[in-house]
Amino acid sequence: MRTLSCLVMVVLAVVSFLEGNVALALVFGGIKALIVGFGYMELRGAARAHLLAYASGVAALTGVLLLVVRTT
Amino acid sequence: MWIIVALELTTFALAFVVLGRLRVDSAELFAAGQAHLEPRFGLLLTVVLLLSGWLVAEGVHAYRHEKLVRVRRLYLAGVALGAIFLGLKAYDYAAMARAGVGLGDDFGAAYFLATGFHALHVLGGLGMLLWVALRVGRKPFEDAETAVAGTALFWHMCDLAWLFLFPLFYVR
Repeated sequence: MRTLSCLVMVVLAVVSFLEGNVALALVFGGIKALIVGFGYMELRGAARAHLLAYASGVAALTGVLLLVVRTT
Repeated sequence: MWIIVALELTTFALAFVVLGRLRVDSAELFAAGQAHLEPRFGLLLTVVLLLSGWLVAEGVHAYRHEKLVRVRRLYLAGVALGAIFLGLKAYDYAAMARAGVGLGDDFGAAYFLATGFHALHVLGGLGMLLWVALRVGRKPFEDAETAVAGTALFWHMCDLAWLFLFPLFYVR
């Protein structure tokens, strides 16, 4: 599972590089942050409140960054 | 360790928002600065850090199964990749400086401060990982869980910060 997570994150990084779209890359960054949190930082087995706090923090950061970079 | 990680990530998050604004408000200046950055190099840095994070996560898994020699090997491999990351970053900084990008312009200041702050965390994380790797299975820790898993947590925080620095600086 951890190896698969790593592979998925590498693929997402490569797609970000190939696409050259910062909004897409930030969304992928958020997905990778969730994978790192749930898989590597062992949040998957943590209390639901901790898991929700982390997921909502990542989602909020990704959302704010998307709003910021799309503002013209 | 979670409190430290949460505080650090909050600091990084605020910096990311400022960087995002700079990217939009000074679009021409930012694009001119980005032209000195090689996206392939950013991808390489990302892959190196992701692999290092994976090795350290495997190390924690080995620790949970009391395979302490494997923990040492995995952490040392993670340290090696982390050191490669810092070496590549130093090369990148030198190339940027040669190209005339420095703290005197907005892009250079943002780039060197944000990635430099991150690199300092990587350096600190490397030191902690190395300390754990050299000690695990040889000398007892006062609090083994915090030493092994807590250090890994800090290292993953470095991963997390880079996952947003990469798109903000290198993707164009």
